Amino acid sequence: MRTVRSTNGSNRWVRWHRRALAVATCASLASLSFVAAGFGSTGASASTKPTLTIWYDTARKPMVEAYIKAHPKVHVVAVLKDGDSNGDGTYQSAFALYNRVGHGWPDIYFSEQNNDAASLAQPPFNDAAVLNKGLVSSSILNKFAHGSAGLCTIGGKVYCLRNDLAMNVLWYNPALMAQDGITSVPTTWQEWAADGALAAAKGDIIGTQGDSWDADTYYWGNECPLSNETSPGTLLINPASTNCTEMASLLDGVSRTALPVAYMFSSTFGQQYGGKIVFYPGAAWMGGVFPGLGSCKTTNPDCTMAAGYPMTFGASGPSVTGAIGGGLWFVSSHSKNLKLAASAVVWLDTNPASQNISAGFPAYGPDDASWVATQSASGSYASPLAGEPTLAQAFSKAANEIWASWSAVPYANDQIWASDVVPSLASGGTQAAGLGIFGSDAANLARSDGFQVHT
Amino acid sequence: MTVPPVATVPGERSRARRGRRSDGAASIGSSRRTGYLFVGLYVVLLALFGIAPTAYAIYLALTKVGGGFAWGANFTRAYEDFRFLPAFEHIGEYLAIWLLAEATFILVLALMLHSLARRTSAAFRFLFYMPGALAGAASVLVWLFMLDPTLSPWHFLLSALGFSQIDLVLLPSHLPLIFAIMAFWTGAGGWIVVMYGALNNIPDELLEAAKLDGANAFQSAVRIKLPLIKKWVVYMLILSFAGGTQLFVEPQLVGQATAGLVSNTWSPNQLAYYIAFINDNFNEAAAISVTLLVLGLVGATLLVWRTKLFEIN
Amino acid sequence: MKLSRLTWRLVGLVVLLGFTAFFFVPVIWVLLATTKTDTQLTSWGPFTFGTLGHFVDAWKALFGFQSDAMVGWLENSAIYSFGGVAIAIIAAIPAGYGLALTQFIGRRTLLAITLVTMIMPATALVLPLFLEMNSVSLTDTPWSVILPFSFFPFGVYLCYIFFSSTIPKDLLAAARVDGCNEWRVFRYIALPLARPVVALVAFFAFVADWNNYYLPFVMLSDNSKLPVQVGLEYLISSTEAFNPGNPGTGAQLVHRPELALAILVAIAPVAIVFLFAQRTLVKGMLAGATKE
Repeated sequence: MRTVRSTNGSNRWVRWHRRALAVATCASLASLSFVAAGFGSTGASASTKPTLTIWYDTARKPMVEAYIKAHPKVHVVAVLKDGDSNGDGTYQSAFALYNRVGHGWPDIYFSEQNNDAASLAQPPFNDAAVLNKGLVSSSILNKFAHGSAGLCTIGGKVYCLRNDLAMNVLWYNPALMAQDGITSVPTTWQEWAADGALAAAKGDIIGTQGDSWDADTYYWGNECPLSNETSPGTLLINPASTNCTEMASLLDGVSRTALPVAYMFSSTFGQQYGGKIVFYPGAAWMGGVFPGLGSCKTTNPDCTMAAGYPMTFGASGPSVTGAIGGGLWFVSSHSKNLKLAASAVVWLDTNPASQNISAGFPAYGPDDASWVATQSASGSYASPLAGEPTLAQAFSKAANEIWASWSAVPYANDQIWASDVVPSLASGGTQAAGLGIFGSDAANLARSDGFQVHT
Repeated sequence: MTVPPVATVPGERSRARRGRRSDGAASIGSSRRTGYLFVGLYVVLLALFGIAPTAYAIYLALTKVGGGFAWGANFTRAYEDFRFLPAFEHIGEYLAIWLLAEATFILVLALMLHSLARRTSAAFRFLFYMPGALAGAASVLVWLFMLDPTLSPWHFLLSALGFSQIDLVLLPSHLPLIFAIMAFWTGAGGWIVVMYGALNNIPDELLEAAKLDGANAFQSAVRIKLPLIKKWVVYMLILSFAGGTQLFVEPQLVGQATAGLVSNTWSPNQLAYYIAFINDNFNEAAAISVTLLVLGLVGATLLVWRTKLFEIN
Repeated sequence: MKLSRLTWRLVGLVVLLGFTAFFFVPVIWVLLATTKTDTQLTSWGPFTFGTLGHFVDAWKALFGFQSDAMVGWLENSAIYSFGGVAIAIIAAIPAGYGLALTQFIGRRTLLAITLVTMIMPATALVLPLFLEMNSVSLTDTPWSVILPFSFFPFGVYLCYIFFSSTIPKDLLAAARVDGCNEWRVFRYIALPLARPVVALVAFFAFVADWNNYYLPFVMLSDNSKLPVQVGLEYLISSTEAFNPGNPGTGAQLVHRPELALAILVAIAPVAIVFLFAQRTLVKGMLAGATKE
């Protein structure tokens, strides 16, 4: 066959083709060398130092760095993950795969998702290690806030350590209170609701509803049984119980101007309500958020708020409060060095070097004072009114009042609330109706997860 | 037998062709063998990353969690799940809107671009395509701002519709339309490029001949262009139907970024993911996936059969 | 209803401009978002321009995240994408040609199986793919991502449709009758004419690989191997606005302008590749081929 004598087009094509092939080959070779480098570095120095793999999230980075600095004899492999935030099941997906191939788990990991203990400790994941049967001494466990281990405890076994607590307190704004003519910080939910009228008259709000945290704030805080594991495998979900319905009617009785359907982290919250929040029943970590809302920084220096004790329902109501979040440290039962892993978790969770720079209120009692002192000095909080507790007092009392019967379940309650109840509230539905919706959807989900549900 | 020289100039080829047999019968045998060679590498990849995983997934759907055949048990369990029917209702509404938009707007836009000058249409294609470059999380982030009545450039539209906050935009009844819009925004550009390329391969002479015969732009489009790109359109419809039934990214990420306003089991594919990874039940999840596969195949088979996509004329 | 040609043209223009706005306005929004601070983003109008200074701040914050992780992510994405595209092209172009223009037993079956695997939901394939990669100890290596990427049935179908509807059958039949073997027909006749579809397939393969989040997320656990899409997910979960549950110290967190910038940086390569690919896509290759 004659050699190709072709038109210009063909020549150009042949050249282009060859060049493209060359580029492709180079790219493939480049990938190969990357792989070679990868194998090289992992197979390199067989270190005599023990290895600890930590899965952390961005906010915990300073704590992990502190650990690394304090433990030069440990080879730490720190891997950034997303803390299993928003219930996207990062850890569950990973462990589902690792369980099937027998390798890949970290030694310790941090989770922002409250129900991860229920999910990861039990079948089918079976990863979280039991901590109160030898790995962590009871003297340490006893110093954590009372009730804080509720989310970590299943059938008497403790599967995680609480890193920080997000107990609900009553945030109040002394300056706005004076402006609105509210003379005292409410101690009961009823007083708070009544103050709504005074607040609304001046365009201020006493809280919000209709975000994923309603149940954690209002219903958990009144011992309403929406997520109670009465015995292993049996859940009590009873939205018709008085504790639930009385809170719902109270909320429904407050005008939507005083208690709007709004979400603190929506794009418009700051603009709309920054500097207009006279009360806010909410988590301890919210204190630092208020001064930064909307125009607060520039035009209204009085946006700082102080923490009051959690409210009770009526003067004789239960002294409990709910919580929104709070992180968990886990030790993987698949860890090759359980003792090291447990000691690392204890260090991260109790050592002042770590907890002082932690984002939230330490669950470990002895660390509370210095953490609160740092916070108070930051200028993000208002000075309490006369006769009201200091930041430390409010936080400590609330931390020990978290209602421990609100159990961790493998599914996320706040996700159900957000996707099923919030749209109803946003369209004008009542809290009472919302309770019913939540009750049936949570029961359905619990049953499909294998629970027996009763009311 | 001497092999006559091969000319590569196309015109020369056609001249040489006159007077010869055109059935090429002598080379069918070698054609068959080389056919295998041509598809060889692809078949290896197909076996490793297509057939094996698919077969395994189907196997999972038919077996119990601990092993042993379960036949239809996983399927019935999945169908009885209280989230199953709502998920399919959601996807049904979504598909109706999505397919309509795909079938009409993409073709209309591609045809319009085809009638423009090359540089202008290139510019438009770039603008239409750019959203497609924003994958998954990126596009959801952008849309969370686009849908927020107080922040969005489209706020006049949203306010006119009575939505004062994003909670009202994301009401359950609106979700199929919203996801269809989002999916169209990211997906249309790519198909417009494909359709434009397909239109560009229509010989100019055909179009000029039609013009000379008195066809206007509309007739030319409907009678000549569309039939000639039929295979591409069918391909697009097959994939859009199947892809639509498998909607996952948009509802999943909107849900995550709004702290749960959209359920993480809104679509059937999300439900399969949940059951697989949160419940660690890959068997039941595989049953849902196989159901989606069958749905997609039914659509594909109908289309392939009716349009004879697999025939070479 | 007969409207004048001018009216139709106006209607066409309005439609075109309307869609352009629909597609492109959000992209402009992202561009402008990178020049503002987080507060300005929510308080100023959507089309306002901030300052270049804020853009620089966003740039520094983004590229400083997690000790300059962004650059590594971009490099990884490039490696995985180019590797995947290279192999995909080498496999898909001949395969499409073979399926369209040669006869062999199982041709239609192959087409059908390809379609089936394309329609199978990806969530169902995660576990078997992971097990497969694990069985050859390739998990957490670049190959665990590149090899699955190189399986690109969408591209094979594009080539199949292209070759079966664009190449004149007479051309090929004549070449065969003249004694050309299939390889020569492919190399010297079909391939030169296939430049647009090669560009198309390469482009789509690149974009699919660059934008793929799920496969790398499952296969790779080492942070240094993550591609930019997975990195973007971590950025989002580190953004207080989207993940407020446990706000950390301010220095660690990411703000929305940086996120907008990350989005732009993540799509820049795709935009650039698109611009290059467009040139080859435009040419109608058969302009001269069918002249008698």
